[in-house]
Amino acid sequence: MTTAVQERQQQQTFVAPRVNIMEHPETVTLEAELPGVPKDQVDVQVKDNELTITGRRVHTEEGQLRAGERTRADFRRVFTLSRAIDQEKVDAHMENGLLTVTLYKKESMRPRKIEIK
Amino acid sequence: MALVRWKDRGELAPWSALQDLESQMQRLFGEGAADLNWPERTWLPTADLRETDDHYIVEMDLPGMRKEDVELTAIDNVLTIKGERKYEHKDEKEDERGYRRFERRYGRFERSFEIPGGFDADKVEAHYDNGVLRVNLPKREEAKPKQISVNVN
Repeated sequence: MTTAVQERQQQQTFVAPRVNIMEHPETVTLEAELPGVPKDQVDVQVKDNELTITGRRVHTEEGQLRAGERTRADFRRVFTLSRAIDQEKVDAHMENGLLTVTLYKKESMRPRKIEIK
Repeated sequence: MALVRWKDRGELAPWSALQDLESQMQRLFGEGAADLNWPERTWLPTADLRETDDHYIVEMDLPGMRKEDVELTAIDNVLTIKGERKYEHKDEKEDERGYRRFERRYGRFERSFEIPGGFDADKVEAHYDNGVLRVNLPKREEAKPKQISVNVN
């Protein structure tokens, strides 16, 4: 018998995906590895200076598992955003289990070249 | 069951256990908690082996790869999956790119799976979908379970 608490714990088991984060002059790009997650099972949210990535894995239930190394858990990871990031504008792209999120820096936070007169 | 994590047999092999520990710690704590910066990283994609009555299934997590960069070979009872994840941002100028976090693994990998009872190499099918490679290995006729009816009178 599972109690309500156990049930909630089971639902909240996540693993953190591996990420690369690159900063460019006007953008910040984040790449997250979400193998086995179809495009429609990815959730990218920006709220209160936080970026949350969630990905639900789709599993094969065929036959019997003889040796298993792959995680059964879904993916989730939360990142705190710098004040320089414009929270109104986020792009996300999913391809071959790799999620690419592009964040844009606020206009005022982008490097400006100042000419010397 | 013969599903063993492939280990690099080169000079760095003694470190592979530490690399595994490092990646586990990074997954647990994030924030580069155990960034030990090994000079050369290898990566070992995780895999599952499943069995049904008439075939085996190998599934391997290979996010962000190209189909063309994965190679499958079958010799006797052994399926070998190898490939290379290429670093895609080489064309960008070094000074225009600042890494804030670098956890993804690149480079070559190779793993072999010994299939008990073997498989029919001519009928192997492989698909790459959502970053997961799925290989279907039909069992040989003689390896399939047979039902023998016994008449009891």
